[in-house]
Amino acid sequence: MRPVSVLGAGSTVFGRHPDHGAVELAVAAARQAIVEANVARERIGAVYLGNFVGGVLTGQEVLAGLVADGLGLRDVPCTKVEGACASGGIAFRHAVLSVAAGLCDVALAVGVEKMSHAGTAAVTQALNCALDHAADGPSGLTYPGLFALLWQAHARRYGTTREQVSAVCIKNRRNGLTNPLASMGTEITADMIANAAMIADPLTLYDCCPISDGAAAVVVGIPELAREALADPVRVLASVQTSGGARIAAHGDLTSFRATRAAAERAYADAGIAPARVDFVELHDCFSIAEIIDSEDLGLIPPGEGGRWALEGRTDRGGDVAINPSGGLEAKGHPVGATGIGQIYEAVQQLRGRHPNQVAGARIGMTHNLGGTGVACTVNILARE
Amino acid sequence: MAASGSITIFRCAACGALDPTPRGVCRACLSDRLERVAVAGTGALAAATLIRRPPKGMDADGPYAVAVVDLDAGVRVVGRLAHPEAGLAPGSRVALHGWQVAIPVFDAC
Repeated sequence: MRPVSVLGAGSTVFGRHPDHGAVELAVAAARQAIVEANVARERIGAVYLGNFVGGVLTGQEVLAGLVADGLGLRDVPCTKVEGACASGGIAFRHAVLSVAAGLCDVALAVGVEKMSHAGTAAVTQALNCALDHAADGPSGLTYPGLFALLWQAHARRYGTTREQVSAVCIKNRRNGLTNPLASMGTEITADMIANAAMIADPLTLYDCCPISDGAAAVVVGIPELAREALADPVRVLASVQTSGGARIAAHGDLTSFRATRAAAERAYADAGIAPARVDFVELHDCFSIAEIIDSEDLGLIPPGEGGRWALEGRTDRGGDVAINPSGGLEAKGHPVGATGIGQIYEAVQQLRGRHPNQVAGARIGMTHNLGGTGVACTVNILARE
Repeated sequence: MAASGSITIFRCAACGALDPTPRGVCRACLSDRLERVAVAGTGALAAATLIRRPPKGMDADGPYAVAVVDLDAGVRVVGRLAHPEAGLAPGSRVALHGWQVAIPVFDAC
């Protein structure tokens, strides 16, 4: 396999875009990535697009082809991939694989979702497409409900408290305040979180990532092309995808996701680094408790100690390992198909040393994108060149 | 019906593995010889939550409590709780209380 670099990255603001459709958002992000990579469009040999509920919520399919057409790309294999909330991460990995395998020298990965026009009940129903409808779906379980169940199991096993989980909400929304791509950054207090509307006990409104629109894109290519790029390239050290339990029945003790553990283990091996070398991680905090579980599954924090680390500030920007310095899904929102590539965008800015919430001296960054009930996962390790 | 209620699951005729939902083949050995088997609707509550924002199509049901139950037979099923206000703690003993269409509804026992 050949080495692969990120040559350019682009992203829209994640938030509400009432006047722009999914294709427009995706084309805008991709244009930014292509301009920054400074490669001729003819060199782009593959397009992978991550999207989850576009068909259900907007009625628009063939997004990969529409976006390529909007960018003036011709005769290129355009593929939409879907892995629930991990759709973007899967698109990125396939673009990386195309270059690594030598099928093309440059590939484009785009992620996009358009959700804010639909009501909460309709979005909840659409996201429930990622439940197994022969098993868990009929019960009326929802994704907030699933993570509420995990929280209860985690609390029972490790004593994780409301105060610890709230520390995640407070940190991420504060990080979002100074990230121009995050429209949901805000200063909140533990009292505000605890007193907010209950969504699925014990999750309140502030434990949930907001419904958002947005798109992100990256151009990946062989490192030789980095000389032409308008910004510093970033090397892809590992790009891993795993499957995991599709049904709740397949999840052992409900305090961990096997897909994340397997992906992280493989990613560390591929990159040839130990977890302690990771300076920051953009991980899948679709709900506050998810950040605690993910950080343990990724091997960054010992099992059961994620809550304590958050409360002690060890996951802040200046802490032992900076978690979601961008503000994560909680402050950026979660335009589902865009999220995995939005994480790459944030990591690339960090490794270039020009993120608005810069982690001092960041050399190695990780991204983690988790789909559905943990049925799909991608983990990437990126490094400053 | 209380504790006497049973739940139908699937058992592989080739290797004996149990599966709570129909999938056509045994995920342990890929045999396609699956038999329906009734098991006791008793078990331990793994976790439960009150769904206050149901998905479209289930709005009329809400709020309702979804429960993950580890049946004594050795499989995990997802259903609902008959009395969410009881505040059952994880680990509590529960038994099948009835059915809401095809959804098993559990209660303390």
